[in-house]
Amino acid sequence: MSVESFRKMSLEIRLSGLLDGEASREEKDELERLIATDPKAREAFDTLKRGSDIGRRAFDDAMQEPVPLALVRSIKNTPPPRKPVSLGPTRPSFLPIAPSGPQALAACMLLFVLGGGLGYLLGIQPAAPTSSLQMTAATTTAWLDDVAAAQRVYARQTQHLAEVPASEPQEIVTWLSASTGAGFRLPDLTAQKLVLQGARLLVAGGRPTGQLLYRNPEGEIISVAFLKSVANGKTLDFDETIRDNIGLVSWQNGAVNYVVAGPSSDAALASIAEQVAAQISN
Amino acid sequence: MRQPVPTIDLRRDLIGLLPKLRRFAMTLTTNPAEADALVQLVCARAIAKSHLWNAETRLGSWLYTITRMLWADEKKKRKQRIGAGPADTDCRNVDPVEAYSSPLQHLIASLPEGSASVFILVGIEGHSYQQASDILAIPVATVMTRLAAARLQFAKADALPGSET
Repeated sequence: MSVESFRKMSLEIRLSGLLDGEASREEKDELERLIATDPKAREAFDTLKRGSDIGRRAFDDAMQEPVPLALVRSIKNTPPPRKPVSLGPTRPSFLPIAPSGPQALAACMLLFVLGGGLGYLLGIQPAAPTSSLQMTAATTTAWLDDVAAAQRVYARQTQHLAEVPASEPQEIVTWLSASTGAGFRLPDLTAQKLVLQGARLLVAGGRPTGQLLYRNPEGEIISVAFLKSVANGKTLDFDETIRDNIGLVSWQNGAVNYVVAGPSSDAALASIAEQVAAQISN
Repeated sequence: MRQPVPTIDLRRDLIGLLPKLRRFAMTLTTNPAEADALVQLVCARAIAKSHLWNAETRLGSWLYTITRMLWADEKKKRKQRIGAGPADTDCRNVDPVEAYSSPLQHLIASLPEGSASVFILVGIEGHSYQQASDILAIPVATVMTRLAAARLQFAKADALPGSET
């Protein structure tokens, strides 16, 4: 905005601009001189300043209202963006001629007969066993369901939250490593304001699972569960899911499956999972 | 050779920005339920179009622009449905007792129209006049006028006997 058009505005608007540091050097000097010499200008400036402080406080107070859980969930459940696909330039049609009606009908009939025959041949074959990939996915889902259920039950415990307390870190590592068959290190999550409370041994997905329990400043329990996996994979892809009020961020590294569980409204679960992944592997 | 456009998962950042987005949406809709519905729409749009966000700019500014655009579209649709006239959800047009269900709503309703959005962007979040002008698609002079009006109104309300602000 030009100095000239700024000058044409009312004194209040110009003083408001001074308050925001939007006045030019020349305009700033002029307004400051005016404030120092003209009591009306001084009063207007003080009023604007006071109004600004009051407004800021009022809006900050209004920010304390909790965010609806449904809104957080709707974002977490929105599928991540898909990679943009370039369709490229349109290629000319492979067949320079369009088939006539009878030709198209004949082609359809031929495909129908071929498809039916192939389907019949496949149908008379004995049922193939379920692929190992499907089995692994089903096992993982059952495991996550059990971890979520355990989180729901144990996170409410106040007196008996853990089987082995945080004061015995060596015992936690030795015991859970031997029980689950998965070696690990205790992650230090103090940077995430999480304090280790202790550990438990769970049966999840029908198999021994180690569970480390942490508490955040709000008193909520965030847990890290791990399981020696059947399949060996090195996928550090974090998968975020929600089971009712429990948020789960799971991943696999080598032959061990991991999951971080906590309240689904906790926005930091994914970053906690990243920290755990960086520290827990032996 | 054309470089592939990287995909960005904004979901975690969006959750962190929810309180600010709801507050801004409230200044447009002046209705808490509609503000939440608008924010949900904004977040879905932002996730789907995240490849369009320039990571060198403030994520908040981009989201506010989407919020303003989606709300403008919604208002346009409503006008087409019910004919020209003020939006039926503006709490300035309804019974105050019914309208002021939250302190934030009361606060916004006490300000001249359009002033609350400008005050939040410049007076609270520190956007420049030009940035606020771009986000709200209004001239810089209007930003200045509305900002001064909001400040004067806050000071005036505070000076009234028995004011709560």
